[in-house]
Parts: sequence; structure tokens; C-alpha cells
Amino acid sequence: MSRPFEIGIDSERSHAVEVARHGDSATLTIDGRSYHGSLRPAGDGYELTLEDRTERVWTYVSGDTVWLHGFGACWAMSVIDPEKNLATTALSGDLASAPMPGTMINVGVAPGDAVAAGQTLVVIESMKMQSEIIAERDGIVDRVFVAVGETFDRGAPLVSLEIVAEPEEA
Amino acid sequence: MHRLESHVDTSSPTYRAYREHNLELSAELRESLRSARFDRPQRALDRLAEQQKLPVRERLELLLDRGSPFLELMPLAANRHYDGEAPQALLVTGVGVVSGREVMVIANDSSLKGGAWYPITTRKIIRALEIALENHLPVIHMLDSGGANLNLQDEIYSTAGHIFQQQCHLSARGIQQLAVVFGYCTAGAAYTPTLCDQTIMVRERGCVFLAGPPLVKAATGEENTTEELGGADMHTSVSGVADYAVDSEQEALSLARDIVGLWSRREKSDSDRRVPEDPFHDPDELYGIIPDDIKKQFEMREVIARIVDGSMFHEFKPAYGETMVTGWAFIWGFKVGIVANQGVIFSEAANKAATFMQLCDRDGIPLLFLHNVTGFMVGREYERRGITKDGAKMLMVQANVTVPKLSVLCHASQGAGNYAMAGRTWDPRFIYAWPNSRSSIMGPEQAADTMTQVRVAAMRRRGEDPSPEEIALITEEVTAYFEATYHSYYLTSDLRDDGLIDPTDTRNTLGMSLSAVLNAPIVRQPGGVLRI
Repeated sequence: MSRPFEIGIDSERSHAVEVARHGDSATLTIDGRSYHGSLRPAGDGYELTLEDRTERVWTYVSGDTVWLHGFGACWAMSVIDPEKNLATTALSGDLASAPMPGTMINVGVAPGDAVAAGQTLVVIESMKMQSEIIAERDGIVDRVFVAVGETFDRGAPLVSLEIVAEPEEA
Repeated sequence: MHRLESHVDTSSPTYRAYREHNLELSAELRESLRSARFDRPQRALDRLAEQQKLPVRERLELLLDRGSPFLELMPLAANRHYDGEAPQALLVTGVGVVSGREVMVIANDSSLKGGAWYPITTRKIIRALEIALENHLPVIHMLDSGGANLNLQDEIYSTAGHIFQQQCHLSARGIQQLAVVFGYCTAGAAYTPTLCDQTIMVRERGCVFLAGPPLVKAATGEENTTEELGGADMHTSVSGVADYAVDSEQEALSLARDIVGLWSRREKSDSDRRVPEDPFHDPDELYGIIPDDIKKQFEMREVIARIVDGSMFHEFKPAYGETMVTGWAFIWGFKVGIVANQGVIFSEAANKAATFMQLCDRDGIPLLFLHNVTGFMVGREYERRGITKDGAKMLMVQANVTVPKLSVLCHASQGAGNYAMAGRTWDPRFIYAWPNSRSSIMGPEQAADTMTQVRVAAMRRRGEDPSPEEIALITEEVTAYFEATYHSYYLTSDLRDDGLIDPTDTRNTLGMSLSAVLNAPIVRQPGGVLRI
């Protein structure tokens, strides 16, 4: 049985890792290259055998960071959860539409304005609360559909960004 | 579980504006608490000294384990009532540690008005006893009160009976009670020490009787001194109403600590526990996250990240019903299921919350509700899709899940959304509010609009033609009423929560509350979980 996941080392490099266990040993595939080895508890750490080499290693877990001591060095490693950011995954971001019916309170941009991802485009009010509608990508404002004070239904377009053509391969 | 990522930009103007606003609220809260606890006229303190009585805060210091935390409850009770003449409703209550045991302390403050009971005092005692009953916390009553404020007897008498009934129920459930009598316990109040397991009385100052000397003289002509009629020596050697007579308050409190030390320790209810870990993200940043206006939205995951151990959270159904955030985390090592709002509740959000509550109930995991709810979504489309039916499901589940529940009003808590999120009337074990929070049946603007329409229509039916100024006046009146009564200080004054807390104290407050609730067994509910 194998399970792929991603590991970051010292918050710089990210590696695709897959572990296939067979009995006491396992085959470890890192970025497409396979290693055969085993890991046994030893004292307050582990004994790691990788191909023909055996080393003592120690780990310390703090939050979702694993500190690994061994081979005369220390690394901070983090497991990147594939489910992470699921809730914040944005759509293409060409069009910001109304999440619910409401009234336009403030329009912060005009057609032709350059906006950055995360920038507030407009503020709407609905159900006693004001929500900021945020640009999901960098771009140029194409159109603002609703003026301050006007009402709109759920799903109504509020602000669109100019469509960017996919860059062609040179 | 993974660590929540923060997207807060601490250098943005919005963050700085929010921070400045919330630091002001924080300073105001600290000052209000200090004033309610300690500001007393010099003559009141002199009078206590004359009577050889200690101020209530000094009594608490002598009672509680040195250096242990004290979770004071309802500290701003009555701060907006009775023209401010009864700070804290002249009563201090909270969960503290005595001889290594978690206990509920209920202590009269006799520095003003002889420690008289106001209606809110009565309700504060009842709430403290209710917390003790639900969470199996032994109670220490520190008694020193002239009795009910007779000018308000009607409002007091309508609820006060619960106090003595609750004392009887505590006894029957095997929850210990100890009374220390520092001053008067007259009439009904005489039953509080008498219903306790053990009672300590201070000679010359503590007294217990159904009627004091003046009333006895009026009733029967009999003349008595206070000591003869209900003093410590009489009650401990003749009537048997009390058990120990001591000469000083210090001696009384030292004896109280001895007695509590002999109570058997309770096993805490089983709950998955871990070694506690500080949040990864700095709780101090909460000041820059909470908006400066009740109508502005914010990301509740940023709050969760600053309350829970290691900022670690396992989110349940992260992509469904996005105006509700549900998931598991640990606070001070105690596992909790968190239900948090992101504004308005839609059908999907209500259903997700209902399923999540059922899961936690079946698995015996305490629930934490973080409120920022403006209500259930309204409008034709939503009514046709049965928003009320989904809201009713959430309410039905909320009312019937039996795991301990904790609530924090983080921002808005309005309409039936407040009920669905275990607001005050839905009996959470503990409920706290942030000073920026607001709670009412609807928003002030919506209420003003509605009321103005109704009243103007009524006037026109009577043939009157209200001028624009008259209409504006109606709107102003309704708005002012709402603004006053949905304010956090007003609500806490009227005991709609167990205390206003600074956002950065939320984690410690919840940690102590979770520790307290686990004194009572968690009863797991058999039954399947519906994927509604």
C-alpha cells in the first residue's frame, strides 16, 4: 500500500514522496527516484537503513514541523497536506459576483484600474453585515456592474477583470 | 490536523485601525473591571475596618490557593443597573482552586449597602449555583449580607426561592457545600448556611436567624442581643444550626481550606487530551482582526488560529456551507468541536452545523460556539428552499445534544442565529462575550425601519399626517433604544453572559471552563448521525 504526499525541507524545497511498505522494510520514492530501506526504534531515536548505509536519527515534532537530526545535520521538515487550502481555493477570478442579495455600499475601483490579488474591489451590505469583495487575481478592471446604493440578486455580476489571453509558447 | 495559515497583514491600515479601536475597548474593559472590584468610598472601607471585617477580595486571597487562577464570573453584573450603586451586584463569584480542588465560590461584598441583595444579585447567585450543579463543582458560600433590598422585594422574591432549592439539589447529587458566615444571614438567607454540609461562623459578627432582634421585639415583645439570638456560640453549642465557631475571619478561612482539603477529589470525565501547546499565531493579533464596526465581516479561522493549541485545526466539510466553520481542535490540551460563524446562516451551513454537533455529541466531545451571526438568510429564494426547516433542524439538534457547550460572542449574535449557536437562553455551560459584541432580536437599523413604517402607517390610519421631523424622531427613538439594549455592557449587566472577556483572554478562559465542565461525566448519546 502506498500513499503519496509532499514534504517541504527548511521551507525552501518541496519534494513529492511516496512510501510503499513491504513487511519490515519499505521502498521510498522521492521525486521519482526509489530507495530501499527500513526504520527501527533505537534508544530515544531510530536506526535508519537506506540501501547499504545505516545511521542513527532523531526526530522532534513541534506542531506540523518535524525536526530531523542525523547524518551530522538538522533539517526542519513539514508535511504539506493535500487537503489544505481546500476552503480557500478560488475560481478563475475573472468575475466577482454577489454571494447573496444585497446593496452596494462602496465601489473602490473603476474600469481601467490595475488591481492586485487580495485588493478590495467593492463593499456590499446584506443581512446587517458588510462584506468586502476581493480581487482573486492581479488584473485590470473591465467593468463595474452595480453603482453605490443599487441592489442586486444573488449571483449578480459585480466587477469583472479584463480577460488575460494565455501566453503562447515562444 | 494542520496548522491554520494566517493571511493577516499586520502592516495594513485596516489592521492598524482595528487594532487601535480594539485596544481602546480593551482598556475600557480593564478599567471597568478594576472600578467594579475596587472603587469604594473611603467611608465604606473605614466602616468595614471598624467592624473588623476584611474586604471580600482579601477574603478570597486567603481562601484560594496562592498563585492559582480564579475564573471570575459575571464581574460586571449590574454595571448598567440601579444607577451603578451596586457594583458587581455586591457579590463576587467564580471558579477557583482551594486545597487543590476546583470549587465555585459565592461571596457577598458588604462594603456597600451592607451587601444587600438586588434582583440581579439573586439571579447571579442562581446562575453560579446552576454552573455548580451542571459541572459538579463544590460550593463555598461566603456569607455577609443584610438581606434583600426591600424596595425591590417583588423582583427578588420572584426568583430567590431557586437558590435554596438548588442547594438541596446540589446536596442530593453529592456535591459538597460549605458556608462561612462573616455577617448577617437573616430570614430566607438563614437557610443558605443551614442547607450546607458544614458551616463555620465568626464570633461576634456572624449571625443566623429567621428574624433579627428588632423584628422579634415587634412580633413577640421578646428582647435579645444578636449573639443570644443567632450567634456563633449559640448555634454551634445549643441549636446545632452551625458546626464551628471561630474568633477571626483569618481563622475561618484557614479552617475552610482544611475542610475542603478533606473532600474526595473528583475524577475528571474522560476526554482526549494532549500536552497543551501555545497557539502558533499570536493572540495579540486578535485586536487587529476584529473589525471596528459590528457590520464589518472578518475571517473566523484567523480567530480560531489564535485560540487553539498550536493553531492546529481539522476542518470538517471545509468546502460546504461556507458561512459556517466546523472542525476539531485542542484548547489547553482538551479536545473540542468548534462551530463558528462567518456571518449569515444559509441552509447548507445550518445542516453542516447540525451534523457536526451530532458527531461531537455521539463521540462525547465538548462543543465551542464562536458567534458572528446576523441571522438566517431571508428572502423569497431562501424561504422557498425551506431555510426555516433547516434552521429548525439546527435548533432541534442544538437543544438535544447533551455534551458540554461553551459559547463566545465574538461579534454579532442576532436573531434566531443566537439560539442556533447556543446563546444564553439555550443553556451553554459557560458563555462569554467580547466587548465589541452586540446581540439583539434584529439590527437597530432594521428595527428602526420596521417600527417607523408601522407607526407612521398607524398614524395615517388615524388621519394624522406625520411631518418628516416626526418620522425622524420615531426612527431616532427606536435606534437609541436598540443601541442601548444590544450593547455588550448592558447585556453583561443583565447577566446575559457569564462575563465580558478581553479577546486575548479567550484561550485561558475557555481552558479553565473546559477543565471545570469535565468535573461532570459526559454522557454519550446513542443513535446514528444524520447526514442532513
